[in-house]
Amino acid sequence: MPTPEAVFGLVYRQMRALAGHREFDDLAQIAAEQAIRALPGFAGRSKLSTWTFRICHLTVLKHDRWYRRWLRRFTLTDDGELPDRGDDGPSHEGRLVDVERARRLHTALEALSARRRAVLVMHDLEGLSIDEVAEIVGARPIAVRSRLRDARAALARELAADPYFGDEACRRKEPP
Amino acid sequence: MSLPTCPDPRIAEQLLDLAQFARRRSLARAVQLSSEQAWHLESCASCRVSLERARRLVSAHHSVQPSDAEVSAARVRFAQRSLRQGARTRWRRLLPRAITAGLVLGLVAGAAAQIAVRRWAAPKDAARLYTPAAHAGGAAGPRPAIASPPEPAVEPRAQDKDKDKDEAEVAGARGETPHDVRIAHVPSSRRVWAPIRPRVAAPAAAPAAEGLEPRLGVGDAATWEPVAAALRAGDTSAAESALNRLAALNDARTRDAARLARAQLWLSRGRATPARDELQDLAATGATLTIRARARDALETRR
Repeated sequence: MPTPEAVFGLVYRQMRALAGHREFDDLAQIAAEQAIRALPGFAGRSKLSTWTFRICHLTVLKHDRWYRRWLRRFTLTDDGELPDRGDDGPSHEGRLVDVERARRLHTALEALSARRRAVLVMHDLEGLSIDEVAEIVGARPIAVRSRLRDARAALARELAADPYFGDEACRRKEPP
Repeated sequence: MSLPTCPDPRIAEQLLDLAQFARRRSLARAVQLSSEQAWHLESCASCRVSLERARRLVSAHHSVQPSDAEVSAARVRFAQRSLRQGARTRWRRLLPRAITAGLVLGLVAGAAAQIAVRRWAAPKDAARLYTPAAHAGGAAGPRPAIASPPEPAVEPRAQDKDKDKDEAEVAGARGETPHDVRIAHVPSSRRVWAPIRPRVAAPAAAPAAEGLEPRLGVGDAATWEPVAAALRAGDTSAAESALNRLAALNDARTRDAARLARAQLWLSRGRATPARDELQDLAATGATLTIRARARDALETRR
């Protein structure tokens, strides 16, 4: 039986990937509480990471539904505050560059719909197989593949002019 | 400069799936490309850009993964927030229950207070009905020697007052409260007002308990007790004598009530002529609406 600490770490990292910066703290807390509360019911039929990914995915979807309803009533006039990132302080220049690239990546990801973003993050960025993603999102593999194709195309359009992820920048292959 | 689109998206997708940079971080590591895929990758600039972008995306994504220290700090932070939110949640859960309990208690207390007020007010109303001051009003008859009970805050309508008084008169003739008056059958098949077991003790005892003189009036049970006792005993002669005494009083209501009862007694004993004359007189000049109405009813029944 996995420990609550392990589940929390897993959920925290997965939610960071799925939710980006947007209300990450709240979403991570909600998902972690749900996962730890439901941990005694985890039967081990799937991998723990798949199980926690599903909890995170459903939490993000639920939040997106609430957020859409909220936006119908209110208008945002400010971007709001980013959550406190703890150790994201400017330790050195390379770290700052990484943080800036990740910020642009998550900004582009937030332009996608929640379902497409979830599939792309899980498959392309987190390395899950199509079948695992299909199990998490509760869809057929062929639907997941279709969403993935659309998400890749949409993300490429979003990042086409980006100085690091853009078409021109990617012509010059960076040393690994 | 725009990028040309890939002429074979199927192979482009296969290449991206094969790459799986999230697992391998490098296309060159342990990926076996078919000759068709290798040839396509060499010739298609779009696919090369797509693969390079995918690699950079994965790299950027994993470069900012939270460290163990950040996860631990977040765990502590969330635990503190959970405690604060738990307290708020408990309060929010308790608030509707507290409101509901308050409403229920308020309703129960209100109902109990209403019942208590009714029970407390009922004897006072009964005493008021039997008090000469409350019934005689401006009619003929001596003013009682006792103080009148406090009048109700709202003055009842005149018609209701008459009705109450009439009920008191008839009930008083039977030694009971107005609510206990019932119609009973007598052997002569004539209907007369007969008493049924009193439910409430005669309130005449109340003034005595207060050290006041016994009251004689319309609703006073003592006034009508001889008539009631004679009727209960079946002694109609004694009842008629008692009614004769009451019919000679100055109090118009008591007098006419006694005359009405006497006429009904005469009817039950077959003395129709004097009864008809008395009822006709009462129907025309009875002291109250009820007495006049009952006299008319008796005449109608007689016809």
